[in-house]
Amino acid sequence: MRASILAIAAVGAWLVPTGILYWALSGDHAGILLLLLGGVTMLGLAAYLVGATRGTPPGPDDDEAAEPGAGTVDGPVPVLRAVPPASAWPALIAAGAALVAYGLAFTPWIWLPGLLFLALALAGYARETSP
Amino acid sequence: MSPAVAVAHRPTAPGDPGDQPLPGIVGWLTTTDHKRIGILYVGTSFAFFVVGGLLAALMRAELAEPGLQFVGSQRYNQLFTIHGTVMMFLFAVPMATGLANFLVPLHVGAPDMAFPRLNALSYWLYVAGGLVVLSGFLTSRGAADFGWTAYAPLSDGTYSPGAGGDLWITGIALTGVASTLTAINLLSTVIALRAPGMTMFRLPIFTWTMMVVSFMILIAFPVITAALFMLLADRRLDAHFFTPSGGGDPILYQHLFWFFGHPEVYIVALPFFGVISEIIPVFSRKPIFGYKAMVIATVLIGAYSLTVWAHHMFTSGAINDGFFSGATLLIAVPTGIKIFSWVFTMWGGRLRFDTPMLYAVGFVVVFLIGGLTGPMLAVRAFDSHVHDTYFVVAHMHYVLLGTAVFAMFGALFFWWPKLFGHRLDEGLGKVQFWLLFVGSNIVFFPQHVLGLRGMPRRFADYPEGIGYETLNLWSSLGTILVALAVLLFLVNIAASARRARRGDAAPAGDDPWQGNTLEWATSSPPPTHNFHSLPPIRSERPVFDHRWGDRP
Repeated sequence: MRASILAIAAVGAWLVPTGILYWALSGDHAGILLLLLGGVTMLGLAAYLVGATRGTPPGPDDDEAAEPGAGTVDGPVPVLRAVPPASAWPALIAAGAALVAYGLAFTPWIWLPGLLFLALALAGYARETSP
Repeated sequence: MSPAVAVAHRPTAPGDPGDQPLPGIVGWLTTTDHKRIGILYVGTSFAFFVVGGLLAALMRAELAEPGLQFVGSQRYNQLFTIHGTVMMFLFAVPMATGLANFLVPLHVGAPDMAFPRLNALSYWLYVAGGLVVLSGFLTSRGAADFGWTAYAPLSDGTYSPGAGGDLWITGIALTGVASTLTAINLLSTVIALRAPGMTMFRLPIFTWTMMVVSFMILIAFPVITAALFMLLADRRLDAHFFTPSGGGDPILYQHLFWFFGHPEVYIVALPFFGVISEIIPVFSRKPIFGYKAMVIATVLIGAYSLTVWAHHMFTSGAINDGFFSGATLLIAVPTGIKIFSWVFTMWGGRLRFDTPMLYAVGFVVVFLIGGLTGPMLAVRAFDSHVHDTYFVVAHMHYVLLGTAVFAMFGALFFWWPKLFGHRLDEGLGKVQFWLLFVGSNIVFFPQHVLGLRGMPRRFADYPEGIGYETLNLWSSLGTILVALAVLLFLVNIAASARRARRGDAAPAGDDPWQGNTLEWATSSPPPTHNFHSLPPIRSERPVFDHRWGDRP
């Protein structure tokens, strides 16, 4: 199993039996649930990754002898733009979220327009358009 | 790794239009480049650190002698609440996030984070959350005043009315969402964007710590976010999740808070353990001692830290003492492995005490003092004696000062050349280190004794004649040295930048410390796409290997 998946599974494998032990020792339902859910979440994530990578050979990132160019495609293949264009949407989403936060503390007259602003900013972010 | 991702490692030509960031302040406000976002995180969290420090200085001024001199009890409550909040939520975690933003893609040999726009969103949500919290000071009743733990029912609408508390809750919720998004981004980057040959057991320890911290965030932060919204519902909608008068359970809040709150201590500490694990080998001219043991210890600390939360609740009488004492004592084992590893890395090495190394050694000393009082507090009988006294304040400040502050300064001196292309002044750095080391010990060591003598925390005043005055005065005087150290750092930044602008200082070069990890294989500062070429990766020290080749 790949080390990254193993690390995720290890955390889950620790939390589930600990949760069961805690269940046996304690009547604290919140703690029992948190431990078991945390463990199951990690094990679920690990299981998903095992399924997703089953049958695929290790990539060059898992190959100890891989050369720097391994796995790259030469020729007329478009280079993945690692850095997307600058975007104002993240800052605008945060501004909308702050308005909602202020509105929750003060009055709906702030959070209602804040929510609208937030929805517009999220739509802009999702559509990747320039503001 | 899929071929689509693999092509991201293909070198891009300088001058490629996609390589050019927008100019000026607009470029910074709209950037999606992980290095710029990392610098923004570092700068913003340092600004919050200064704010939190000023609040602490006000508290120490008030406590320098008995009686109320500067602030009343109500304002004092606000000061310690926002001080704790700022330092935990707005400084320590985001500072680590900033370093991770800058370093993790470079460490794994990637051109950026997996989700660059999500990365920008995380940063801006963090800024928004921080400003929302601090704006509580502008409201009529002032900022939140129920402590950074916001225990119910003290934090409900009856005992803590006013908008300051609501702003605290919503602001912290925003920073929680920001941290969760960052965790997703970092995990995806490490799992999916590693360069050819960068196997998991060749990752730098810092990147391992960020990966483990990301798991912890994914488990712990949603819990506190949910608890905060339940608290807000109690305050605004009379929901009674935590109010006993309506059938709610205040102990439930404590469980939810500490299920997040104790892992939070390690979410703060682990990245800075990683920082130290990068600095010490470079200045010892040796590989890290027991690389795999360090990785396993990191995973164990992360896993154990999720099972010790209720040792903060011993005095509630509502928990299983044996379970939490045992689990807490257990966590000392992997932490001890790390300390032994740092010491044995230095042992027999050709040590160079440049400023980053001074901070690394200072970190080990300060953290060890804080760490030794941890197992003491894990014992129920002792904890009952000193609970909510200055002993606990001293313990947590030694732990967090050692990790977040000493390691932060070590990190900034170490990676400053990579961030900005010039070095910080070494002479000023060393003076600053000694001011901080001596000052912080003067501030916090006497607080152990104050706690053992029974001085409770979170009070603006204390009675005369029962042995508190002299130690409090020393503690307050030490604050002056700490403040001078921070001031000297700001002077150092300005002076070094000025020298670099005038050309009075030689450029730092790509690899000023003869480092081990991939960030030293690219220019200082790196190009937008990070690398024009990568060296072969054959160990956890690819740049060292490349520099020395097959030489023994």
